Amino acid sequence: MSPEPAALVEPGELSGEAERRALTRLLEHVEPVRFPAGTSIIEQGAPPSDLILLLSGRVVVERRDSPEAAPLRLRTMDPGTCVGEIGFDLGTPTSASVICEEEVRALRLSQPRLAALEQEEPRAVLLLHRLAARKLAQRLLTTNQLATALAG
Amino acid sequence: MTVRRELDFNRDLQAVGVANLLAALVCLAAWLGGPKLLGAIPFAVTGGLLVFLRVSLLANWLLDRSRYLSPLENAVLLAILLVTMLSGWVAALMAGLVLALLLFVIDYSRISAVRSLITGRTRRSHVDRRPARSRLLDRYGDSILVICLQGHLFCGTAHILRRTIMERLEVPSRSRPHWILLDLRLTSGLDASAVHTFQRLAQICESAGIELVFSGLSNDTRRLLLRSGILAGDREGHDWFSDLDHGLEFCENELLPFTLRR
Repeated sequence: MSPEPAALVEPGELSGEAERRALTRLLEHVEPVRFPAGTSIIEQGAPPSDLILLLSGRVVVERRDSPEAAPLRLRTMDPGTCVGEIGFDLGTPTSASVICEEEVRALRLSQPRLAALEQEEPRAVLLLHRLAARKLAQRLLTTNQLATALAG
Repeated sequence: MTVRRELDFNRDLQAVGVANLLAALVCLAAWLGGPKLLGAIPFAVTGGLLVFLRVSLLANWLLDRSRYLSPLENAVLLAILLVTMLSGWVAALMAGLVLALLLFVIDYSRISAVRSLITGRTRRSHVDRRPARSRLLDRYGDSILVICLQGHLFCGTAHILRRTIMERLEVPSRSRPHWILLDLRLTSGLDASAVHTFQRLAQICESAGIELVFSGLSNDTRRLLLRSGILAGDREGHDWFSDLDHGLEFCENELLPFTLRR
């Protein structure tokens, strides 16, 4: 595995040879993309987007309550995480914009490609969902910590 | 409040008008009737009226209201009475005003300027970091102390802030914070004594090797901190941060290289 896709998983996160093969299969079916700094990967309110897995570079997720309002930073994301998963999973218009702070190298997976992959490589799809669920759980944990800190 | 119903300005102003008319008629009668008419009123009636007015005022302010006033407020009322008796009502008015202001300052300074005090372990920036780095922040996050301030900062409230920070510095050096992030988003302003407290804090932090970071500054507060030398420069993202989140991110970014070396 090249060093960049390795950013998607933590050392020891893959449980065995079968999962390592599943990751290799998954990487074969995603499209490598590159975004220059300042590019908007996802626009708030746009139709559901593709799932983007960040390999390098940093993105900012920001939201505006109205077109005239100043943007509110929701998150900044380092490599190894994914964006667009809310619209991707719920099929709803995107809830925030994602803008590249620096040049970003990423992997893109579209809904039709995922549907095909579910038939061809179910283990790879299972691994993808597991990695995405892990990221979401980490974000939920951070949000819970923040809520506890604010309530206290 | 006394009659337990809403104030009706039309009805009340009409009543005041009628009362004024009656008073004018009495004055007119006294003017036309001369001293004879006034002399016809028994002395006990005018004297009794004056005594009744004073006793009712005393009963109203010193007895009836004392039930829901604090001991300090009651003391102010007694002081006003004393000054009225000794020096007249103008002096009493001034004394009452000064004492009420003092009372307000004492009460306000009891409201802590520190809205919340947390560390970088429990309050993290909105930066999704790799799990390994998150674990480092979980482990060493206590070296970032986040203090969210509120209200108007003046001598009373600033003193509490200084004491709060000093308590954190009087612990063994290993447990001391290395970054103190002061978020002033919920503050409404600060006076000269608060600026002096910040200057002193900045000196203490500098000598202890602690970085003092400010976020959520209004334009006025930022200019004031800049003029007083508390902020080294006016560069956003370096000398000050627009919000707590960016300030926290800065502290985490400074902390992580240290933890990676450990």
